[in-house]
Amino acid sequence: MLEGLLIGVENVFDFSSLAAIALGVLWGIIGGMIPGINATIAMALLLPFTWGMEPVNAILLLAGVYCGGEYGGSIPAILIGTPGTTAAAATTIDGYELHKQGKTGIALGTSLISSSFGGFLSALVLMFVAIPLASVALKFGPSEYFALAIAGLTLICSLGGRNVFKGLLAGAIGIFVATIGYDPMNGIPRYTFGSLHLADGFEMIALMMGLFAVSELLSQAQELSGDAEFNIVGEVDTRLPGWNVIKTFLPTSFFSSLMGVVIGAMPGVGASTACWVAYSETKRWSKDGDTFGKGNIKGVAAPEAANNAVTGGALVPLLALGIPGSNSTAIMLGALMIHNVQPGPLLFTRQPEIPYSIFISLLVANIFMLIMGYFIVKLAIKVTKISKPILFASIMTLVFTGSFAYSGETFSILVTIGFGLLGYLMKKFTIPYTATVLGFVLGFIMEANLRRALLISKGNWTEALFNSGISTTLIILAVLAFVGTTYQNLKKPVDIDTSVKA
Amino acid sequence: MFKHNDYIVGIVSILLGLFIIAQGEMIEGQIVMSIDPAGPTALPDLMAYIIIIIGVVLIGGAWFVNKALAEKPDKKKIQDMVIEYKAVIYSCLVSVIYAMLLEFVGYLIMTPILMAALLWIVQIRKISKVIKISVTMTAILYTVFAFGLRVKLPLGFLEIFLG
Repeated sequence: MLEGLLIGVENVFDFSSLAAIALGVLWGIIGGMIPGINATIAMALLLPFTWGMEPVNAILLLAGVYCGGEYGGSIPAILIGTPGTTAAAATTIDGYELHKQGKTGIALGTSLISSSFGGFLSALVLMFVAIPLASVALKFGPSEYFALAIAGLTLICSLGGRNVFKGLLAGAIGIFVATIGYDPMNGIPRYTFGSLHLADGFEMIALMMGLFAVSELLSQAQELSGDAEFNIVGEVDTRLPGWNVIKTFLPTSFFSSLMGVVIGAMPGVGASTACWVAYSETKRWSKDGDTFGKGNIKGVAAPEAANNAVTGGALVPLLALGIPGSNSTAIMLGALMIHNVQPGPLLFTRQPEIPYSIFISLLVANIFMLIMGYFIVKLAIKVTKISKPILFASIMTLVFTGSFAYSGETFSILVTIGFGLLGYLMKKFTIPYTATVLGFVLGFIMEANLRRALLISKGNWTEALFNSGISTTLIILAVLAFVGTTYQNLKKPVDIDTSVKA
Repeated sequence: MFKHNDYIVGIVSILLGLFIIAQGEMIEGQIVMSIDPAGPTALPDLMAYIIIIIGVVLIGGAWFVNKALAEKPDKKKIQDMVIEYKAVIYSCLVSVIYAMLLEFVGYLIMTPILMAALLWIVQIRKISKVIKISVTMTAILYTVFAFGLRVKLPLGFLEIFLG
């Protein structure tokens, strides 16, 4: 292994390789920042340029994009309340809240440091436990994936604040929305009303941009139309967090990173799920869990560490088994195959320069990300200086363009508007739309795996749900968390809110 | 915990739940033969029942709150809210029109119009400023998406000249 690592170091610490990683990280951050463009799309756009490159450099370039893309999404999530990528959705909750409180520098700095930390840690984990971790990931069957989704869904209970029922309602709506489109088992269209646009269900990007961005913009439109000088953010503190702040979220970043690595290693479960699971678990185990959603930096650190830690984890099945676990790693597989590199267990013996260069490049990419991110954050903060009405119109247009860019259909814009209006109404009635997003993200995993598990168990629910120690433990933990949170919410003294404007 | 207007959410939830179940019945009718024990409507139906139950709870909670209220909500406030919603309604309306005409008229024409309309809604009324911002922003977005990211944005009428 040491020999392999030395080959990796030799390959990476070469001008062309370092330049490829730096360019990749920069492109990834920019792509991630643009709503509608995620790490996968940013990688896909670069793929044609890798044909003429050395195989190692081509992979390093894509690895850089992958890291940068997962981080870039957090910048618009914090500054404009719009996640640049689906993996930054959970960051929006506390990140945007911190920005509204004027703690913009703290939020952006926390996201940058935590992302780099998560990515760096995952690269280290990948280096030492790629093959053993791959075997653990393979133990996850449909029952375990379903149980994991259920565990993630327990966050819904606390998202509703004082009224747990509203959180559950929003989550149930999200899960239902996830079932719209062709049935994954029978191929029957469900709730599509004959529309071909809905045959594949709603695009996650369009739904998230609607619920997060458009709903917020509509609220701003209401305020701005009354008073042109209205300012949603007061004085902005652009100072990045110092060590006294960093040390408060480092343990959160560490545990969230570990969660991200494990979730990333599971085929089909990516950064979008990891960010929610990390947010949920951090909130559950934090002493100041009540302040989540009100601008807690751990609410930024947890999802950001997790979604970047997914990068290392997702490469585990790709490199160790030759199975791409996500869209981004599928593109990497494509790039490897273009250069006649076949990933799998034999890769480590036949072409060790490839996997070991990737390991080292991930470490370097995360250091580059920290440096580049610092300057990009400084530039991005300038967004807060733009007049609010101009920002309102510009973001709305950017969101619609991003929505169209992702699918190439104007129907996506209509979906974005529809969910924006839904999110706006949910806000008015104090229903947490974040629970809808969570339900939507986990709904896919939940349904497909539950039905697969039932098919395997020939309809035996007990066998389907409690198939193994992993699934049983996860379900028991989820039930305990659900009962505990609901009980705590119901135990609070009943208050009567008479306000008309919710 | 409950708000007096939760009954609106409750009623909408019950109607949504019933709608999902009714639609599910129609979907079930389409299945000819399947080995899938759960069926395509198992999860949506489960969600529908949860939504209905929560709807009932919310109506009950709102009833309890309304009973405890000494005064009914001020009607004038509701009228004010309707006036306030004007900007939201207009924003949605221009956005829908934009989405529907984008393909036919083209991005380079529709986007500055959308931006101008949105700026107008949020009280930016100086024509020269509106034009300047709308055109500049459209140019930036078009450059980034069409040239930088190679996204094929609809050109509409301009397809003949630029396509």
